[in-house]
Amino acid sequence: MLDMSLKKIIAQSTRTGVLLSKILLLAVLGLQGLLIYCLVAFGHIPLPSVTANEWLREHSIKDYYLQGQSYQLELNGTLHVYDARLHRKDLASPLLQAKRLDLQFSPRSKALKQLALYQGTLIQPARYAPDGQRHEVLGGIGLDLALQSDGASLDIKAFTAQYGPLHVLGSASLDLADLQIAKTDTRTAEDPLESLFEKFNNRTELDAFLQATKAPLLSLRLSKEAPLSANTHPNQALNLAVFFEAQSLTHHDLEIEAIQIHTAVNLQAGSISLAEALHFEASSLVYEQGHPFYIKNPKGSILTKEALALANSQWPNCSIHAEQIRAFEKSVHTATLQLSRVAPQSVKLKALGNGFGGPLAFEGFLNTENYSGFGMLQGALNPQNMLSDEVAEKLPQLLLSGPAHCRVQLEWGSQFEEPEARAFAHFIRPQLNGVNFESLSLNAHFNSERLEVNPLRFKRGEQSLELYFLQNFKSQSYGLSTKGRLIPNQYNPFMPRWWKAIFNEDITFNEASWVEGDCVVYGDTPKFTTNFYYGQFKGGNLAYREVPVGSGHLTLRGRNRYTEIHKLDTISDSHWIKGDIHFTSYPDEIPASAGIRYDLEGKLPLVELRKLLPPETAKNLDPFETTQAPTLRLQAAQFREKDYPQFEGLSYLQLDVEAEEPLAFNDLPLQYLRFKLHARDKRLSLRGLDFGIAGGIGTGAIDKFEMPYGAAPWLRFDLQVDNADYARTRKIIKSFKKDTLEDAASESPKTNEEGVIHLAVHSEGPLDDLDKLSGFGRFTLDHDNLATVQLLGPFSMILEQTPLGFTSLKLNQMNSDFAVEDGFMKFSPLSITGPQTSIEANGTLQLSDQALDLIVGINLIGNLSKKINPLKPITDILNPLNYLMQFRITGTLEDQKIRSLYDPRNLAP
Amino acid sequence: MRIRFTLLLILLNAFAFGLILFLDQRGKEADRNALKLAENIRDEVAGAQQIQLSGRAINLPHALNRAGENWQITQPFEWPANYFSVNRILNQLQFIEEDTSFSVSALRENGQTLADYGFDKPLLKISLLHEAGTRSLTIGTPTEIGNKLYLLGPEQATVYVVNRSSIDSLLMDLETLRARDIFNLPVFEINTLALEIKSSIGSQKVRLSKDENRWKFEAPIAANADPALVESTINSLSSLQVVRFVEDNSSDPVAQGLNDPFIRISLFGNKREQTLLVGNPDPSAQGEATYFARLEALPTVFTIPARTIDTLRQAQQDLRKRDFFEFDPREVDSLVIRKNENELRLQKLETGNWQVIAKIPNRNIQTHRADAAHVNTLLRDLSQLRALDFIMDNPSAADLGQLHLNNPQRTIELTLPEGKSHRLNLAYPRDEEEKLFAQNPKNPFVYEVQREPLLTQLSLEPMDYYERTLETLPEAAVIQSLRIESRNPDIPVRTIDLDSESGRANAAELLDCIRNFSVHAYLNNTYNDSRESEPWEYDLIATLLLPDGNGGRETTQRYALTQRLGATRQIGGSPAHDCTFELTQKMIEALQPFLQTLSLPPEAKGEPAIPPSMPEPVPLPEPKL
Repeated sequence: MLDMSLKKIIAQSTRTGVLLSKILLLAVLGLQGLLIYCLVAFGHIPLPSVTANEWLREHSIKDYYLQGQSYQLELNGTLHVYDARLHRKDLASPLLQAKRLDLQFSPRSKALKQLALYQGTLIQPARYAPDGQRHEVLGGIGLDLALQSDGASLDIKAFTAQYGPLHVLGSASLDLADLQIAKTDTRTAEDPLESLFEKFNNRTELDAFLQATKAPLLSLRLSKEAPLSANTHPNQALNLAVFFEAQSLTHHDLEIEAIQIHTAVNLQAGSISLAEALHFEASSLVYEQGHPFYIKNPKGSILTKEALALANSQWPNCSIHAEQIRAFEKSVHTATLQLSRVAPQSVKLKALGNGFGGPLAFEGFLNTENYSGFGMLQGALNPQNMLSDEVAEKLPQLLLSGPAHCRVQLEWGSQFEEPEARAFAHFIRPQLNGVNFESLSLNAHFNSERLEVNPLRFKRGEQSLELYFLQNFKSQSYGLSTKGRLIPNQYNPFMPRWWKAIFNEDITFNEASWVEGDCVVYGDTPKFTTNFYYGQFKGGNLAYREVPVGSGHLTLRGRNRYTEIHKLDTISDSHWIKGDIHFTSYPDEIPASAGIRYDLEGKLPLVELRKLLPPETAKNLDPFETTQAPTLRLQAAQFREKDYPQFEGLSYLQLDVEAEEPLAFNDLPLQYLRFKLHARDKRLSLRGLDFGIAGGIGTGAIDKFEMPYGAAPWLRFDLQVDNADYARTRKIIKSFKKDTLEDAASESPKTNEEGVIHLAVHSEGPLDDLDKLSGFGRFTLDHDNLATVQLLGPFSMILEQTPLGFTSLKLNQMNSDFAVEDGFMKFSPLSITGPQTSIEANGTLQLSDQALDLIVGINLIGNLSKKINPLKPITDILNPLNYLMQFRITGTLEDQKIRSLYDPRNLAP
Repeated sequence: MRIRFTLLLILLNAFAFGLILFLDQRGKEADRNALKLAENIRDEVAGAQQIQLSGRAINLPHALNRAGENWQITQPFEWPANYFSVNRILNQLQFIEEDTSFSVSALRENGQTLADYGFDKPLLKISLLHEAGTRSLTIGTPTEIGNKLYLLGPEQATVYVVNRSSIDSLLMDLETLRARDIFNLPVFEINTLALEIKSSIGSQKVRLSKDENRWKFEAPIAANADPALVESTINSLSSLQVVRFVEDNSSDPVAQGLNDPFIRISLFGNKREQTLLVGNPDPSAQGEATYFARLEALPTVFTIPARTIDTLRQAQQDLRKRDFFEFDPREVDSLVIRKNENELRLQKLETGNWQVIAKIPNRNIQTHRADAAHVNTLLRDLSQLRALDFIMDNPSAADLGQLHLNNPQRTIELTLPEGKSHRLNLAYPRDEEEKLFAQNPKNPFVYEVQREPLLTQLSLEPMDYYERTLETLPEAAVIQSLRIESRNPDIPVRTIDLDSESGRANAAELLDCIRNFSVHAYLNNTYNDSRESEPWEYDLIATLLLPDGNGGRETTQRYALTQRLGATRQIGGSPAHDCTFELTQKMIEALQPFLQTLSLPPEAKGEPAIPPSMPEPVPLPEPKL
């Protein structure tokens, strides 16, 4: 019975269980059907928003509650809240709005497991805003966080937000309890929103900074892990790794391109400290105000412990590196700067780099209060590279090819004002505008009032120089003095114009040459014009226009554009020159002197004198030839008439020549020559002409006229030669170009026995064709043995020493006035006379070939009868011999052909 | 029947459950695909542990591994990555924005393939490896219109069209992905520089170490190094950057010279060191010459600028300190100059003034006040003494004898506070006319120094050091008149106008010189009025009214003067002080306007240049009557 009852009970229960399970399965199926319906129809399980909002409002967490436009539940428990709003009970408007909020809860603990927020906006309530208006302070908020270990740890996988132009990225991984480490003061704990929004209220500077940036990005990572380099205990702080970048940062005249900063800070008890060195980098930094500067690829780091100093506006200990720093038009490459704080108001600066022509190092101290300081810059740098381009361009280019050392002690006052520098530089084997030196050293002192070089010394073989320079910035003047031994024109590549004008290629040197000198120059800046200079130079074994100078000295002095060589005194084996030369230039673009005046005297061979004179003037000496050195006195002015028309026709030359030794003029041998040459404009005149020729004395005057239209120069002269030796004159005439100076120099007694000739010629004609001379002249030849007329022919010669010697009639004088015209010398007549006889010849001598064409009449006893016969005119007519003794002379002077006019051959047709 | 119904319910439930799962998964995928590209890859970008890069934009595939906060390139070679560049790439990926997108399935439905968009040979493929796996972005070809590129999403299900500029800036960052820095020791931490330089004459080791801010050679000789040059050299080395990475694995170390580098450069910092091996010149270098190089600790071969390395070839010579006689001139108490038995001592007095004491054999010791400025200049120049050349580092006694350093031309001895002293011997061989050799007896080194003006400056003539101020008139003294008398009786006396304001202004410099009469140098400590002693030309006579409490006492000062003998030389004599001297430059220039004037030609004065008249022309020829 009991079994039966038990069986019934079991059967009943089984039926009930089956029924219940069927009901359950049906319910689950129904529920699943509903879910399928929801999923198919909506894609999710919709929740009633009103009910949900009411529930959420009632279940606020610390006065904060969530509201949404719609709620969607997913099967995994994720709740999507659309148009979510986070409210605080005491605030009418939401604090945070998001397009969507995903909440995932733990099925077991029902605690929040994961939260994702999309397109959120953080709103500053009016209460916390100074202007009483609501503001959207953060937009585009995205957040993906997970709470693990039942909410014990927090993992923010991603956080994004947009604050104005700033993109903010973030992530975090830490225990929630760790957040207590960073907890701030109690006031904040009472109203954390006030603390949060207070930060946004003080955002003016931040906003200004962000507005100055282009595409800024801030990436943050919060963790409890301390980086290896951090000096804080890992358990004592939260670590926030910060990375900031922007395409550019522009603030006033400062522009930084591609700026990047990364560091890590520790958050602890409301305070922030640098946990890692602050690293920064940029592609360029340009500052345009005042003296612009440019830094290429600056990068550096500020040590952790220096963060406090930086935060307190103190100069931190740090090092900065830049690929290039350019300021004041100067560049320093691979620059490294180290700042070390040595006192509250003083930092030590140590810098290394490559600039100003070489490696450099700087060490100094800066007062951070007033920016006064001092330091030492040294290295193998080129001091010229420290000058402004404008100044450097005016100076010779210094190249450092050997070891170099430059040391500059710098000192400056408050705000970098009143700089003062003392420099010492020493260069081995430097080069200045291509001129090599063995060594060059320099001491200089600079301050706001003056620049002083005290001194600059160089050595170059046996050459050396010491130079002192003083530039006064207030009076804008400078003074320079040098002293040394050098070959001046070797330095022309970097010397001023006046120097080059004097020490030009005309002066040549050899290995034995030497020049010593000292010089002072005074002038005005900034154009470095020269007001006054004075120099004295001694030298030897050199040449001026190839004229050797054994030794000499001169004073070179000038004012502004005027220069003079004063007290020039040179001497060589064969010659000497003394005097002054004056150079006048004008402030224009013409690089040569407008006028040069010579006041020189000397004794030097014509060949050397020709080299010294201007080519046009030297041409006038071409006809002269002598191996001896005449004494000269030259006064001349040579103007650059082409460039300075006001001086046209004013150039002149006065040359006094006294050649006491034999010389030749146009191959005409002269025993001596003295003259005063005057040349000006189109005329060259020789006055006081005094020369020895053929034992006689020549005097006279010569003019040479330059003719227009390219015509040959015109010569006009009035010459007299007295007491010239007839034989030598004949010899000269015979072999005009074969006589030697030695012959000309030989002295021989001048007697009528040998023949003495007197000649006067006053003529003119083209210089290039002397045969075309025209003029008049007269000559007289006294010669005891001029000629003898043999009345009986050869018999007379035999009878000459006998009592019948009267048959030989002697002639002892010849004279004639003559005219020169068309290349002919016309005698009118030529008289040859002797004690008894006179001969008269009419006709011509052709100058070009000395061809004769004379009709000679011989009056055998004319002179005798003239003395004793009162009826001479009648007897002359009646004397048949006079008619018979008429001849025609042809041929040349050397080869005369005489034929009687009554020679039958003359009668023949 | 009941069981079947139950089973049916179970099956229906199971089906419904499966359907729910399916619908849920589809919904998730739809959600995911609905996400923006940047949102889609945000997790992977943030948590990437490795980044792989490949494609046409880079020669060889690159792999970068996160190492703590930094990144390290592991492929194709090991090298530190540029932290900033990697970060920029990651940040750009986090913000990459597409203009539009379309699904791959839609693309296939249109009969197109991924290859049509260049994804088979991508411009760049970025793979981000993180804990959950790998996600890749593939950048294909440009769009036909617009300045855009196709990008295949991480699921390879969506093709995004992205702005080309964002990809271009990403490609630019690839260029700088490899850190160009070679040494990573902070330059100011480096305390030792070691070089091993090979040349045709063998291998030379040079080692420099820093000791209390002084750099010294430890090898090959123990000598001082120039700190500025050494630190600048180290700075240049620290700043060395890679010119080109040699990515070709087949590169030949023998051809590159890295199996036997011609120079090894080691920098030592605080417990750290790095060594750079430098090999042969890179024959393919464009422009500036480069050398093959690699860090000893890494196999990666790269090229570096030759210029920096070439400066090290003569490091032993070039980095050596040339200032070998260093002292602070302000601290010198005395300076002794000796030559044989002659001795000249310059002694600083407690007042700060100097006195010169000369000991000359057979003569009494002379003591005279010295010119402080002159002594200071001498000390300054001595302190600036620099070696022109390093002649001998370890000379024998015979070597020193050959250079006459055992019997020097000058011996200099400086006495400094606290008993410190410096000595220097200066000498030259008998026939040597140009060079001068110096040796500090405490050191073996022999240097060549510039001979002049050093030897002249180290004169043994006491007069050269005498106080140069000859006379200073009292403030109250009045120069009543000033005249220059020529010793040529034909030249009239020139009285300088001191009565008018303009006259005084013209003579201001001269008056100042007379008030504080200084000399440039003494020539003789007697005065001889004879022209045979000096070519006296003028007498400068000043009438002075000196204050004496009784209305003043009139006195006359006379200085004999020569003509200006040079730009910087004019001799003066003072009968009152019984000395002959060279005038200062200031005095010479002050006298210049009164003694010498330029003989300016008219054209220099702006006047007409009238030439002298020419003689009358020779008259025309005419017959003699």
